[in-house]
Amino acid sequence: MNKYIILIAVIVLIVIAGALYRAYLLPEAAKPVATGVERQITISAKKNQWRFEPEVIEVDRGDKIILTMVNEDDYDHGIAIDAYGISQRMPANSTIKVEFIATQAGDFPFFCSVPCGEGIVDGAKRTHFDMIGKLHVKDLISETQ
Amino acid sequence: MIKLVLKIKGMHCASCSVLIDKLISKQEGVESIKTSYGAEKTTVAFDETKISLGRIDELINKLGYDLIRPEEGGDFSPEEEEAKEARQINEARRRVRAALLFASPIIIYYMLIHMFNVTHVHEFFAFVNLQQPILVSKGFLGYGSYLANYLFWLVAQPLKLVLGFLIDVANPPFRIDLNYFYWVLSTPIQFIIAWPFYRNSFTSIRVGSANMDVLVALGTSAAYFYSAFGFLFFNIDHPFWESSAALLTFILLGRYAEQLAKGRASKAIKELFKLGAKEAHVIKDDREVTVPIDQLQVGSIIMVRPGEKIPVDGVIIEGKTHIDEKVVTGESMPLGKTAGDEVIGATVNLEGLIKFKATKVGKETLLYQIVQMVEEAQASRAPVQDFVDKISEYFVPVVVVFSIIVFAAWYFIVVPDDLRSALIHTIAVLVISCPCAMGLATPTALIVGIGRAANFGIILKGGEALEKAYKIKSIAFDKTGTLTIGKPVVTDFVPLGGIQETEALSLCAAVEVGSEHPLARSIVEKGKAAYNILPEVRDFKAIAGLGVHGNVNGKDVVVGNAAFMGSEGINIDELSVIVEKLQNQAKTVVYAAANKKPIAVIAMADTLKPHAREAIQELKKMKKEIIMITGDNPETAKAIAHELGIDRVLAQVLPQQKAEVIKSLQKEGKTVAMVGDGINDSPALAQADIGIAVGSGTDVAMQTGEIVLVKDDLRDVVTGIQLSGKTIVKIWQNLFWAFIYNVLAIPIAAGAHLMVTQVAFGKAALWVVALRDNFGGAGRVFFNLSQATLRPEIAGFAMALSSVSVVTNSLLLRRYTPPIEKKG
Repeated sequence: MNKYIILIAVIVLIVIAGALYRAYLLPEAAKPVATGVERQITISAKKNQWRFEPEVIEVDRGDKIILTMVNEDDYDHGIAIDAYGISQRMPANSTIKVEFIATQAGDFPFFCSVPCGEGIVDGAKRTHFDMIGKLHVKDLISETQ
Repeated sequence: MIKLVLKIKGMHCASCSVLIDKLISKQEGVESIKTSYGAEKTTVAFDETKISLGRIDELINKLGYDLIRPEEGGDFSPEEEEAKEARQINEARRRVRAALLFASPIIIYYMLIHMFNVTHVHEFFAFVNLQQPILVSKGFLGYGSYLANYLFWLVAQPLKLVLGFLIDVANPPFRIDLNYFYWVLSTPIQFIIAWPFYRNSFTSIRVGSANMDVLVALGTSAAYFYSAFGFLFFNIDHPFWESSAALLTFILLGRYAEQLAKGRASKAIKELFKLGAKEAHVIKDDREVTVPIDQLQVGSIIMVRPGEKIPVDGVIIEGKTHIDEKVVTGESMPLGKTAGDEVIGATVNLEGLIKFKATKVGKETLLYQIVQMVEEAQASRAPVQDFVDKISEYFVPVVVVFSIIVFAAWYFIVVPDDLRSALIHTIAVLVISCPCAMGLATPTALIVGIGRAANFGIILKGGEALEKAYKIKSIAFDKTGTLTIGKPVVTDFVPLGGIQETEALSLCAAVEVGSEHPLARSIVEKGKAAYNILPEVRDFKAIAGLGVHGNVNGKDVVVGNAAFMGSEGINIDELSVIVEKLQNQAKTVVYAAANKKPIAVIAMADTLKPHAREAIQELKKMKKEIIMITGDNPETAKAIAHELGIDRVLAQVLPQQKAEVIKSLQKEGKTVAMVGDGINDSPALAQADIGIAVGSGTDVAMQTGEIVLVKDDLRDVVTGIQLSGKTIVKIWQNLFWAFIYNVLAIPIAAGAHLMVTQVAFGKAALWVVALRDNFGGAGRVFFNLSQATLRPEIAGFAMALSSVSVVTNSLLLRRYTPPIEKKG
């Protein structure tokens, strides 16, 4: 039999199995949560400091997060949060908005995803790789249960 | 039922032949069909009452290929094959050039940015207005980024100058994103230059097989469309144009190298036909008529003058001469022939005028039979299976299924309902599974190996020889012209009757000046080497098959064989002891006399080539079995073999038998190489797993052999085998490097490592936290990396880097120097 027919069958099976798992087997705790709360947060890439400000943000699980990302630099930065598939450019001297629902609890790094060089800040070397912060998503459900 | 071998045009990959076979074999009346992509031929057996050839042609046409029916004239001339190969190589080269032209700005910019963490500039005028860089920090990254910035600044300056005439660069009236430039540059690479990958993938999918092209198309398309849509519509942070452009460019480079390494079609057959005489002088009604040889018939009486080639095989009916049969039989000494003796076409008549009766013409001649044997042996050689294509049969479905599993895992389980997250991870997996480094592993190593070999004067006519040479167990050497120089040299000069050696030699050499005979030449050479000017000879006379006669310095000098001495009335009986001893050493002996008194006995033999002995010793050290095959007589063969330390000798092997000897060696399960130089060696060269032709040899041998030793130095056989071994090691190293990237990076791109570094999604494992808290900066870096997944642009960068590392590793092969060479 044509290998591709088998391949397509396997692919369909995987997707169906995944969908079934999502619908019936996914533990209650892991199901995406939406509280309907909108939370406005502003994060700045400080001018020539290779640092996000604030570096730790705390939100509740299920909140809709509206990030206002301010780039104070004359060069580009990026904002990436792997877990939520966020991957956006922050053009020089401008502000962008990023929206997502924090459906899962946990600590997720947010970091600069555009190479942005390095420099000396207050006598210490800082680089693109230091532009990393933490998104802490608190799990209200498990805490109330 | 008829069986036909037909040519098919328009096949562009191995899958095409599978497609044709699949479709045609299903038709009623078709018994069997076997299509070969490499040879562009199909062998089809069908019942003409059930299906016509026209119908088969029609079906093949529908698939997009062209069957050349017999009436359309589908003969494969060597010129056509050559032209086809040249076209293919040209096309591959054009594609690489075009791809490099478009891709290099993108590749260089992105590679430098990623490698040295240079500030990424996305806007055109920001790039033009770059400040002259200053060194910020030291170390690899510091200097690297400084140099990269300097390069960008240098590129920006002329742009700034030119644009300055038109607009105010410092305050530009408009802004333009550099990504538009990259988009414009990478689109033609993706869809025009790299179109063959899509085309081959479609064919491959149609026949239900999976070759590397499918993965290439899939991976680079994923990268391209993610970049293009992401940039145009979603403001993604990092379109990674460079990975699709770089991957495609590297793979095209690999394909080009592959084309080059494939080697050229053998021109041997064409060369062989050139060897024969074109015309013959036929005696008809006592008149001499010159006719083309294809008009000769059995029984024709043919006249051959000295220096001419014998046109066809036959029997001498009149005349006496020496004939040089080396080209066909490999016999080193010219043979004396007279009425009743056989002559062979393509051999050279040296001295006398002869008439002979043709006994074999056209396809019956020995020369034509050799041509056929070369053809057969070349056709029967098994093509090497492409290791990479075999892997991809499994690799492709595995990767496709894996990428879907990754999508399902992220979309349904890890972060349910988050399409962005699932897509990014799937794309990263697809990009990193693009097998571009694997496609480069073999051809680049072969090309560098071939180039390195060429530096030592070893011409490899394709990568196949390099791939096989290290496996050789037995090496068969032809004797004449390969191990030996192939022409007689004076080895002993024994002066007689109290005469000075110098005087005797000058007399002999002087009288031989007039003769064309190879034995005479060797005496002249010896004389000339000793004295620049030889005395003059008068009343010179050459008697065919016997010797020469002349007057030198007032002395009546004769040089010739025993029969000649007898007819001149010179007594040579006393010399029998000396002569016998020399003849036992397989040497040819002639006599010289002055004024009817013997003055010298001259012994001549074919001598060893310089370094032949050394090469044989080295090969024996490498545990190779050495065999000598020769058409010469056993005594001469044994003498030479003894000198070289060769144990296995096969003497008096007819040219037709040489290929048989190789075949029987192969039946013993050995990989056999044949080293030879003559036309008579050609069938054996073609039959052997590797044919090695020495550079002093005939054109045919050089065309037939897969390896040609230009310097005529047998030590290069050793070098060639060693270089082959080194190349094979490189290929495996390359495959390892190519694979390890995929094997390590695919799970990281999928986020599989999170299962180890996190206890639950978003919660770092304790051991990772412990590392972060106890190992300072390095610990923090590890922590950050362990909690993130491999982003698509980094995946693309890693793939490009793996290609670079494979190419670099191949280039290291250039440092190989043969041990023999080192010794001096």
